[in-house]
Amino acid sequence: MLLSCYIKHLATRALAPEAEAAQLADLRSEVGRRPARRMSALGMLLHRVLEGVDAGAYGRVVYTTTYTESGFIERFLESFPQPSPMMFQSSIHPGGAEQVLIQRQQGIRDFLPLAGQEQLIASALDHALLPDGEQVLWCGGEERATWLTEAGLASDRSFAFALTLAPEPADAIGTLSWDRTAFSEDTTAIDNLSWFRLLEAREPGRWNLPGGGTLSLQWHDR
Amino acid sequence: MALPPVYVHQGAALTAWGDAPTSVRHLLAGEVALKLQPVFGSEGGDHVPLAVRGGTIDATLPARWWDDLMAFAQPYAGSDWGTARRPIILTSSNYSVDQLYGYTRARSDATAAKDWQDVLPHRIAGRLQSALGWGPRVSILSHACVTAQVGISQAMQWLRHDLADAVLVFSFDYLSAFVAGGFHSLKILNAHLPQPYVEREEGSIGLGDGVAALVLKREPSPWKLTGASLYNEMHHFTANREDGVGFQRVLEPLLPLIAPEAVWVKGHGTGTRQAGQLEVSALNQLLPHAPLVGWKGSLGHTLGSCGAVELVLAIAAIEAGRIPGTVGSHGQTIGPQVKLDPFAADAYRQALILSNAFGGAHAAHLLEYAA
Repeated sequence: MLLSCYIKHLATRALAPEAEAAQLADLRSEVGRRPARRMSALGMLLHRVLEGVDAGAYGRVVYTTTYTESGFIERFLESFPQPSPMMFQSSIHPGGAEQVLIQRQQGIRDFLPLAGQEQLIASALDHALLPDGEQVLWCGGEERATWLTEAGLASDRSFAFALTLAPEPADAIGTLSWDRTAFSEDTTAIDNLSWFRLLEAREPGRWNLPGGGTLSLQWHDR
Repeated sequence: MALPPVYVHQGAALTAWGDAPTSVRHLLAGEVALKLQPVFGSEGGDHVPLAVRGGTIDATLPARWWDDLMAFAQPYAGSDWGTARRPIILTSSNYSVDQLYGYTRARSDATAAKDWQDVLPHRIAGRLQSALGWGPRVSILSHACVTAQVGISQAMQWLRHDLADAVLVFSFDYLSAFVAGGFHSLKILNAHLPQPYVEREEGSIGLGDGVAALVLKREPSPWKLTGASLYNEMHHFTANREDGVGFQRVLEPLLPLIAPEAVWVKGHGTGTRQAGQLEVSALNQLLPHAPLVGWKGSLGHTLGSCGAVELVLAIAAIEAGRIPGTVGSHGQTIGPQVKLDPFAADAYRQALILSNAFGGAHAAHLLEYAA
């Protein structure tokens, strides 16, 4: 079954690895010192890309990440044998999105926090796109850590994205289509970072995902 | 849009007691599986109530739970699972976080550290796919202690919209020092056994290992899931709103489907004071005649798997003819609807299954059965 929807809003933000410290300081000022106090890099990036988005207005909120709160996880693990309660509660999936929504006191109904790597984007499309006319908010991202990154257990890039999807075309900036039953031998793996890069570049195209399913992206202003 | 109901075709669970029928027998006998054990396993620490399969929460290589999980999963092996029409939803709050804890302890020794490989959700999912011959359509959901019920809700959506013929919701959470240490740091996992829904000075929880699998389809079976509801307060990282609105909001969409005189409630009931009081208060307002029970005083809180584990146990209890009471609790309850003793299943025809999680997340499912 081919399911299509319209992209109404898109925001992306990333930190350049070579200038991450300075950019994090800028981000902290943008978010505000007080709210930023208990936020991770991922939380602050999500804060920015979700600016102006009323998450409570969406029937489904989908959140995708491979590694989630890597910085807080590192600090929680380092706190043993006196585990830190603050690091524990902040490290729990889906903490990145919750940091933003809790700060805004923005209650939501269906919240689908997904993890994964090669199948993550196909999973998100499976969960986000249903023929029920609901508007969907899809956000995600990663944050660079220190020793977890060195061990290949956390992202080496800090980035976040948010897009909103709706069934009606008015004021749409793009179209997203997903055929979960299509199958091809010629596939392209799209992980969370590749997905972010496609969105950031507003790259149009058609991709057969590993394991089945074909994703199409069209941008109306291109 | 009126959507068709979804039916449970296979349900299985493991707790510290054993499989679902065995667990229900112990619950009906009022027995508590929780035992006071060191919070960091063999590394020591304060003694806290844990209900562990195999006796230890230590991070080991291979993971202490792997063989247990494989033995449980054998009925669900095969390449027809994980395909476009028979997808799998993996649900866990912790996946293999014990392995991450083990890696951290070993990381100063590069040779030892490289053996700890399965430390991320997608890696453990990959091992499961490979070991069980599953296809690629495996979603990995993780939303703290409502995870399993979020997975069940999504499975219902796919089936109702004819996007799948059958969905396997597979759920597991095994304890580790990472998790036990975290809850202990919050002071809610302490030296006291939990007594859900009882008046006490200080609340406390216990933690338990839990595994469950549910096969859901559109074709009728005796176990009909008629409603599902999710709500996320986004009020505080760990606490619920003090006005209890989240406990009400999650129930509101289900109220038109509920027969108030014919429903019993399996509450979340971990043993914390505030959440217990808010849950009882919401149920007292909306379903004042429905008996309320909680089983985590015996099984411990099985975290992200609890919604699936306790749904399977609810079915096993109905099959056994008696619903276990709130095991482990004694004395003055915080509401008249709290039942401490077992009661007959055939006096009712609906069961409401509730979960609550960090972030003020709430999940509810309504199960209908022939009285």
